[in-house]
Parts: sequence; C-alpha cells; structure tokens
Amino acid sequence: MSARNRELANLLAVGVLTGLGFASVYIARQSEISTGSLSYAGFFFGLYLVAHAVCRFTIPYADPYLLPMAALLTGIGLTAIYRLDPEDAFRQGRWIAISVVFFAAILLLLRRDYRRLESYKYLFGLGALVLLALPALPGIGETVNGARLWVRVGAFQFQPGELAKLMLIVFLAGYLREKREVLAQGRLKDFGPLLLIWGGAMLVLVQTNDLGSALLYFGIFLGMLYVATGRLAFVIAGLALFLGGSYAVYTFVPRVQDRVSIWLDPWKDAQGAGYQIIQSSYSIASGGFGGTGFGRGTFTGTGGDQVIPFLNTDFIYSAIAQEVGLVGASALLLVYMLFVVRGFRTALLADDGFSKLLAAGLTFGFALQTFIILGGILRLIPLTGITLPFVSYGGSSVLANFALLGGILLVSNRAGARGGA
Amino acid sequence: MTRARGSVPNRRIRLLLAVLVLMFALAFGRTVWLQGIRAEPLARLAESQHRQTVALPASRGAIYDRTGVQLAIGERATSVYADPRQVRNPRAVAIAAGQLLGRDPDDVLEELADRRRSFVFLRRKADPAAADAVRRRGLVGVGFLDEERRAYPQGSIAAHVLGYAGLDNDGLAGLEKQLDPVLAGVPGSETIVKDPFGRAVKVIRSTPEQNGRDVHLTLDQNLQANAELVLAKVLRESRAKSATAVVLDPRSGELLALAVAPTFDANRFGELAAQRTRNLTVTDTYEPGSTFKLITVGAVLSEGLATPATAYTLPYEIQVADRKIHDSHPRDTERMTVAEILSRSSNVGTVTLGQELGKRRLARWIEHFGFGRPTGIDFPGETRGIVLPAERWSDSSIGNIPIGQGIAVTPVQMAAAYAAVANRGVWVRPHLVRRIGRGPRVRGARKRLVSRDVAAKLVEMLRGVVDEGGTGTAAAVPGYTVAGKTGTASKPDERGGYSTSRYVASFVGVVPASDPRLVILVTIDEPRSAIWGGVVAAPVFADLARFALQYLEVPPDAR
Repeated sequence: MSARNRELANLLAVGVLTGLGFASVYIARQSEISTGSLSYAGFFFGLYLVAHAVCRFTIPYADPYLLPMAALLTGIGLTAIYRLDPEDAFRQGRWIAISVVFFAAILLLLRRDYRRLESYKYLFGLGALVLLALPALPGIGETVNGARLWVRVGAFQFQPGELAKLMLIVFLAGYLREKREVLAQGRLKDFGPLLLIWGGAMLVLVQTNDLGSALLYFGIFLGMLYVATGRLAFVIAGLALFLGGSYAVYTFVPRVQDRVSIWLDPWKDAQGAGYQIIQSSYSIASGGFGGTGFGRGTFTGTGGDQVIPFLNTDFIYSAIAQEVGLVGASALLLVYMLFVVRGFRTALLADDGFSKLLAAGLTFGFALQTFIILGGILRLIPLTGITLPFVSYGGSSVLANFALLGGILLVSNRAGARGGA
Repeated sequence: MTRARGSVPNRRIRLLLAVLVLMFALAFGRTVWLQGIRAEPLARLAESQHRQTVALPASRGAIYDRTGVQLAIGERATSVYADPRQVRNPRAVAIAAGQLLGRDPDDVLEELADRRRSFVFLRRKADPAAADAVRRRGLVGVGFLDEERRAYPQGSIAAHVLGYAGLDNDGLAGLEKQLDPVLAGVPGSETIVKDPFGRAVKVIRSTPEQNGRDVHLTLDQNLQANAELVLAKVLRESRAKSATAVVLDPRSGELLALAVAPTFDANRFGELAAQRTRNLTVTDTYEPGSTFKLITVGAVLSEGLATPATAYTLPYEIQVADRKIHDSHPRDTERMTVAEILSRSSNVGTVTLGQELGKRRLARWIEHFGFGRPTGIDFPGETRGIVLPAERWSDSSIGNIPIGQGIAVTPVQMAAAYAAVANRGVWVRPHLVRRIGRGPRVRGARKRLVSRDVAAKLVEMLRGVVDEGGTGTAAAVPGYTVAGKTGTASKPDERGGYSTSRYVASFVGVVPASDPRLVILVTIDEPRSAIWGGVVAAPVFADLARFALQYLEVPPDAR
C-alpha cells in the first residue's frame, strides 16, 4: 500500500472516531444541542479529505501517519470544545478550515524544495523578533489575563508568539547549520549568539510575565543547539543561565512569584490563586479510570457558568481527562508521543543538516509545548498560559500547528522520495 | 536506516527523543497518580469542600382581624453583612454603617478587625432603602441578604394580644407564639455544591419551603382600637396602674376586643420589659369582689334554695367565725329580696346565701362556672386563677368567698362566666382565632352552666344593678337595656390582710339585656381618683358599649 493510501485509510479511521465522538456528545446532551452537531463530523472529514488530496498531489512520499494524527487531535479538540460551547466550536471549525487552506498553500508553495527557506533565515529571525515584540507595542498589544501575549487589529485578535516560534525554528535551523562547526569549537566569543538568545528569552519572560513561553523559546534553542553542535556543555550552561535569570526575574516580578507559589502549594490559597489548578485536579480526578463519557462531565455551575476558567484553552486537558478517564487521557498522551516519534523519525531520515535541524526543531517545539502545558496542568511545573497543540481552542495556535505539520511533512516527503527512488 | 552524511549525527536526535519520552512518561505517571490513585480522596475533597446546605426560609403567615385588617405582616427587609477577610477599606465600611445603618462606627471597625471571622452582620433586617444606600457605595466585602421582617402595621393596636416574633421570625410571645406552628411554615433546604466564589455549581438535594398560613382573628380592629383609646383615657384620668377590657360575643365565645392599658408599639415588643407586655386579661388575676356575687346567686337559684323574690332579713353586719362582714354603706337592718341583694350588692345578703349553700356546694358551683381552671383560650400562658378547694377553706372562708374575696380570677374567666349567663346558660370557650388559612371557622367548646330559666332570671336581676337605686347606674347606655354588676375589691397587702388604699374597680355587663350581643368586662387596677367600680369602671363600660353597639349596628331595645 502506498504511503498516501495508508494515510487515507488512517484518515477514514479518524473520521469514524470523530463521528462517534460527536454522536456521543449528542446522545449525552440531546436536550441542549441539535442534530446539527452530527454534521460537524462530516464537515470535518471532508476538510481532511481535501488536505489529503493536496498531500497526494504535493508530497506523495511523506509520512502517512502525521496528518491522520493531527486530524485525530483536532477532532478530539473540536469535540471537547463543542461539548463546552457549540459557538466556540463553530469558530474553531472555521479556524481549522482556514488552517487547512494555509497548510495546503505551504505545501503547494514549497513542494519543489523547501530548503530555499534557508537563504531567508535572517529574515525569519527578524520576523520572529518583530512578532515577539508586537504585543509590547502600545495600541495593538493587549494584555489578556495578566500576560501580554496578544495583538489586536480591529476585530482581529491573535497571538503572534505562535508564529514567532515557527520562524525562530526556521532561523535556527539555517543559522545553526551554517555556524555549527564554529560554535562546536566552543570559543568564548562564540557564546555571543547564545547569550543573545538567552537575553531574548529573558526579555520575553519579563515582558509576558510568562515563564512557559520563555521556557519554550529557550528550550527550542537549546535543543537545536545540542543537535547541531553535540556540546552538552552548552545545554548545561544554557540551562544554568536560564534558571539563574528566571530566579532573578522571580525575585522582582510578583506575578511570577505567584505562579511559583501556587505550583508549590495550591492549597494555601485554594479559594483564590490556587483555585484554577485545584479545580483542574478535581476535574481530572473525578474522571477516574473510565471517565464520565463524552458530554457527561461536570464543568458548569447551575447558573451555566464555567467552574474552571480557560477550560477550553489552557485547561482543555482537564476537561478531556474527566470525560474520557485515565484510559482516554493515556491514549491522548500516546497520540502526542507517536506524533513526536514520527517527527523525530523524519529528522532521522533527512539527509541534510538543514532538514534534520528543521524537522527536529519543529518536532521538539511541538513536544516541548505539549509538555509545558500538560506539566502545568498536572502540576509537574508551574502553570503557563500556552495552548495544547491542535486540541486547544484558539485560531493562532491551530494555524501555527498546521504550518508546523506542513514543515515536517515537507521534510518527510523529501526523505521518502529519496528513500523510495 | 538512512546514513546521515556526517552532518548532524542521529545519535543526538535520538537522545533528544529519549529526553522527551522521559518527560511524557512523567506526565503519564502524573495522570495515573491523579486519576487512578488519588481519584477517590480528591473527589471526596472536591465535594466536601464546597457542599453546603442552605435553608430556604418560609415566609411567615400574616395575622388579620375579623374584617381583614392586617395586624401582623412580613415585610421585606435587607440584612447587611460583611466578610472581614474581604473588606478592603474597613474605615469606609464603618462610616457607611454609622451613617446609614445606625451603628457605632467604632464597634463596626472592631468587628471588622477580627480576620478569623468571615461573616459579621452590619445590620440585621435593615430598611431596604438604607441597605440600597449602602449598596450604592460599592464597598468591597459587604453583602446583602433579603429577609423578611415582622411588622405590625397597626402599631399599638392589639399589641398585647399579638405578641412578638423574633429576628429569626420565630414567635416568642402572645399569639405569635401560640400560632407559631401555623404561622411559621416549614423552611425548605437545598444542598448545593458551590465554587469558591460562592456560585452554585449544582443542586444535590432540594426540599421546597412551605410558607406559613395566614390567621384571621376574632378581634375587630375598630373595637380593639376604641377599647385601647378609652382605657388610655381612664388610666390618665384615674391615675390607675393598669386597666383591662374584654369585649366578648356571648353567643360564639369570640373575643372582639382584648385590651390592656398602658399600651405599647408592637414593633418594639422585644425592647420592653416582660411585665409591660403581659396580656393581663389572660395571664394575671384579680380579686373579683362583688362581680362574683352572680355566681353565688346563680348557685342558690340553680339549687332551688330561693327565687329572685325570696326575702331575707339582713342586719348591716354579721359575724362569720373570727370576722365581721358588713355592707359597703351603713344601713339599718332590713328585708331584702335576692334580686335586691344583687342589685344593691349586699355583702351580708350574699354571705347569707352562701351560708345557705354551704361550702361544698358553693365550691362545686365556683368550679362549675369555670374558676380555678384555665378556660382553654387560645393564648399562651393562661393562668388558672386561685380557688381553694372546699377542704382547705377556713372557717371564715364562707364569709368572703361568696362575695369574691379570697379568690383570684382572670378577666377572661369572669367575662366568660357572665357570657354563659347571657347566652341562656351556655358557656362557650372564649377564643381569639376565627379562621386559620382557608380553614373552617373556629367554634368554641360549649357547656351548659345553668338552666335557661335561671340564666334569664339572673340577667333580669342584673338589670336592676343599672336601674335607678343600683350600684351601676353609670353603666347605662341610652337606647339599650344593660345588665351588669359592679365590683370594688381591696387588694391583698403584703401582711396577708387587705389594703385600705389599693383597690381593683371593675364592671362586667351584658348588652342589650333583652337579646345579649356583647359581654364587656372592665377592670381598673388601683385607681386613685375614686375606687368604686360603679364610679370608675361603669362609665368605661358605657363608653365601650355605646361605640360597639353603634359600630355593630345592634338595634336598640329600649326607649
């Protein structure tokens, strides 16, 4: 069976699963929602068939599992969002459609050779910096829930950080491929760029007050630096710098202190600051082994108000874990893990430095982001306001993740074509 | 596996993957911990932390008079409270409580300083307008609670009867206490799971409240108000300690007015001393004096020992054991009929009749007329009075009990006994509640005391009291025939004897005598102007009767 036929078979399975998901939400909440919900599964399946067709045309040799897994994750996300608020699901569905178009455009544009991106690496680096700086600009920058991560132009609102992350990865892939030998020698002056990016991460931390985003950018950098140079010393030094810098920020930014103290002991202020994380723990715990079933969890008060704030973005894992239980949550983690494994396999199969670094960087970014938000919800690390890739509600996030998927698939296609040829 | 062309060793990528797998394993382990191992205790914690049972208060039934006038109602009130832990600006809260809620700001400040508490009342059941004024100040940490406040729209009218319901809407005195099971209703409850912001998440169990039922009294607001007005006037003029008036419909036992002076504002019941708020007509006794002679005469007639025309030769003074009994005004020895004994209120004559009866028969008739035991009126704290059983009578008892001394009765007992005579010999239990909710009309228990014939003769003899030559001429009501009896009893003093300066003056009458519609009893405790029932109490009776007969549109039965 060819790679694309395998992909189609997998997508069919995902389509059936998504249909079952919407059907069970419908059965559980018949009193509140209409049969229209069932059309979501159909719409969704059609959307992925289009994506599949584009893949068939542009990247015939790419990994056949990545797109179905992304489809599965968005399917789970959309079902969960729909279950919480059908109107949000409608908007999310629209964003998924836009993202699939964006995904197709990337594949069509770069189907011949994505490696020409390498020549624009500094442009990407600059772009990343500009995007990161945008929310800080007065007039268009917006503070949502204490973190300055948003940009608003008219009615249009997005988180530039999501796209900046991808641009940073493209820049690093190009830059590190070029400079890795020099860097590997480890002369003192070569720490310059490292210090520069560390400074950038600290700036992000101070500006956004968000430890998670800073950790994400700096983690991506350290991971790619290690892959490029093989110098563990850089990673250790980088981590030490990061921890030191974070501690310095911690000492004089109260919001960061709050986040850390909640992380250490949420029960100290269970009715206030620790509320969100404790409610999230309750929600996850009440799912138990088998969960309550899709559509049967408890997330709202009798007045219809949501018990856990930001349930459909930052805390969507808490909602899903309650309804699908330990079995379902484990399966979800497994899907993420498999996605990461396929991504790294792509990096392993790629034959040039830029491709390897790009695939590894994109996958690592994806994995690190997943871990940072899950770790935050599960109280392994301080909680951060970033999204769970493909699953969380949010346009910028979905768009960026589809671009990320496109990037990995392009690398995979090239490796596959070479392998197959 | 494709060979990496020396550019980027795959080993590093695998190591990176291994690190990530480790991190995901950690997340997986944590999920297992939360959902598998800690699920039970966390679930319990989640429920227990926020589960709360709140009472759904039932609204208290209203009390109406017999014509539907509101005597006691539930009024909307707003309780203002503060959470000291959430109050940001205690000074502003204290100032607001001082300006708008009538609290001492220093007290409030002190209460707010106690951070261990999360709830203090700034003012319980405040006026909703004042509470709104506080609300408009937008103080953080101050909350409002809609409650019901008991209000007595008629102020002092029937205050002694209505009694009082406390802050928690529980009847503490008077009819509010007596009728509490009916008025209070049954509060409901709701067990809810709350989030930390106090928003209800889900209702686990809910029992709806059952509101209290309304009560309609036998009292008539107009008659009650008039009685209180008249008593207040007599109290002022006679400088007496207190006065009571009972207006009773003898046919039904319904109390149309039950007044006590001095009065007070029912809304301030809780602030007054208990002595001040006692319903003296039910809870307190007095020595009836001459009004009691009706019982002795009634007994003599019933026993067939005499007729109203039976005449006796009576000296001014007789000796009974160690005591001398004499009439109130010196006179020569003369012959008096039983009717004359009653109308002229002869002590010697009545004691002579009592001696003819003997103490056993007299004691039985006193008990028969309902003295020495509660009437069973629907009011709390009724006293039975003080009536000695025959075996404990002293030798001189037969010299004072027939004339209403050495015996203590309540105004309601006395009014009920006269009402029985007025009602053709049938006693009807006096009562205050006419109807509960939409229930049937309450009917008082009945008992025949004397025959129809004896009752008619007694009424006829009582008419003589008010006629020319009687002691109670001041009780006459133009246009109506009045039958009644005066009473002037000196009060027992501390030394076990009788006071020569402190008296209870009373009058009890039946009107119209030809077809009794009302029995009215007036007692005046320690009048200073004049002591005689015929002088102090009889005019009060006349005032009350005139107003009531007109108000009730009772047709006149005399010229």
